[in-house]
Amino acid sequence: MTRERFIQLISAEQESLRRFLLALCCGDSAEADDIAQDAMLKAYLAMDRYKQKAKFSTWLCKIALNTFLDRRRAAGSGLPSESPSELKSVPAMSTADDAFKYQELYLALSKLPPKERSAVLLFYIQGYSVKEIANITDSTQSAVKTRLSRARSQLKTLIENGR
Amino acid sequence: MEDKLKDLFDGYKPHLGDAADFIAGLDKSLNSVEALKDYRERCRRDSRRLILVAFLCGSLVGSALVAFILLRPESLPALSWNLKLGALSFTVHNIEYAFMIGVAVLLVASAVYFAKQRLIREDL
Repeated sequence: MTRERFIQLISAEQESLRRFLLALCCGDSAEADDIAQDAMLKAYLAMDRYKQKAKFSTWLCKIALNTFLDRRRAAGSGLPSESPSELKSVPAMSTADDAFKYQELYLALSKLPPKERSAVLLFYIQGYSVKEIANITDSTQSAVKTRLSRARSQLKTLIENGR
Repeated sequence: MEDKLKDLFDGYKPHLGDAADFIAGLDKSLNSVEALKDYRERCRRDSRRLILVAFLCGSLVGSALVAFILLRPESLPALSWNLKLGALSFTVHNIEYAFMIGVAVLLVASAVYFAKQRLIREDL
């Protein structure tokens, strides 16, 4: 695949990926874009290993998710944040409107462990099936279902308590 | 609740930074990656060339040395492997050969060094 073709594919996918990463990073757009750039560079370097039978968007999403999880592991913050003050970056990095509009959602998402957060976002924002999520996250379908159901009930409690 | 969550995420349309800026940033990073890849490839090629130079020089100088030992002048004593007199005696007996081997090693090392210097100059 040529660089021009790669840029073409990325241009088509960047918006959806960045939106997913923005939610994954709970509104921190600087971190989300940083991860997106990082993931795209990794994808570019690994183009030889890309199998055409897999969807490019799925492959890219998998790389982005692993980049996000690696960063969390490296930062030693694999646990969900305990305090809403951890969302201090939201108003500063998203637009003020977005920060206000999605504050509740970001706050609720920040309380979920990264794996559950990613499962729920892959399902609702990216629209992937359980099977595809299992493929992206390298886990079994039953594990994905468990994560989704746990995340749903946690989100339900968090959003209802937030009102 | 399932519907509520679906609605919540369906309505999730945050403002993202400019796509053109994002792609321009990526393009810049790709340029750096390409430059690094080129540099790595050049290094790999250079090291292959150096190995070839060392091999050719080693073969040439080694062959010359062996030929010289076999066709040595009458005045030069034959190479002796008699170690009974000890290491010092061995060196004294074979000083000419030790010198020749030293010169051969020096020649190969110089050839590799100058080849490397030339590759560095080509890079600049």
